[in-house]
Amino acid sequence: MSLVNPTLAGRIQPKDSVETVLLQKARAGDPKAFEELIKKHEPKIYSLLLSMTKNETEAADLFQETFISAWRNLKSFKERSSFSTWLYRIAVNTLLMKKRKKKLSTVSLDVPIEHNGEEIKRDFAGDWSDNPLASLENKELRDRLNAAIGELPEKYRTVLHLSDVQGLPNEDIRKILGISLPSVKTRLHRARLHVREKLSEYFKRT
Amino acid sequence: MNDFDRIWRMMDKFMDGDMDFDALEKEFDKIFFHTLQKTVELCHDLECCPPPEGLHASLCKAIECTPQCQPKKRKPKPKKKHK
Repeated sequence: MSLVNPTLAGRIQPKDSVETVLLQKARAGDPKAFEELIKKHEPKIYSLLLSMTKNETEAADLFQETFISAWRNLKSFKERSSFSTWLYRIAVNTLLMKKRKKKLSTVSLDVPIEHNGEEIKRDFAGDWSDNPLASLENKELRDRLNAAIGELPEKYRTVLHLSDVQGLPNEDIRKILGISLPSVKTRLHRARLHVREKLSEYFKRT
Repeated sequence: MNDFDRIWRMMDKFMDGDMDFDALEKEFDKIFFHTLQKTVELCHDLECCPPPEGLHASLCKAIECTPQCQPKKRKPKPKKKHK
């Protein structure tokens, strides 16, 4: 079974020639080229920041700071990773720095998700995977899914968002977050278990 | 079959000494993986939230009046002195 996001994974291309030209021009100080370059990355970065902050105003502020920081430091971009990975990393670092400054109350990154003593809970919700209501056209389920993701501690939410919503490979997530590959997999697994359990609760009631 | 029927049938089999625990185990594992896979598929269907209108324009204005920094030069590592 493939758990790689099929629609989004296909869109991730190593480099295209238009991007390379825009990058060169932007590096040479052309702001218009940079504005064109970041256009396709804007929804992904905003979506990540919104998922991490759960606050539209804060996400918009961080969005601006991320791209301004990218513009200011573009000449230091060594192309060791893709441009989008570099942008994601700036976004995550900008958010973490702001949190450190503001000392916002956050859920500790080391707090595990509780699963009533065990990770795989054997419930009696049955196999709802074929249920016709198990579709995002079902608004109630969509809300439930978003709420379940929103309930996750930040470190799990970020990995789930990058992997399952944005379709990034684990290797890229490792680079963006500066953590090990096993940590990415563990966080993703726990996040998926939590969300599955919440959806199972929904189907138990319906 | 709803959950109640499901449990009731299992209890029935259990009382009759007819419970196949291996099959039970497989059944639950199957349910677990099917529902986990469906969870991931549902997440794939979520769309990225576009930034609010006007944010791109204000970002462009800010970029146009922000100078770029020169790349940072790395200091060469000091050579170790051999004793």
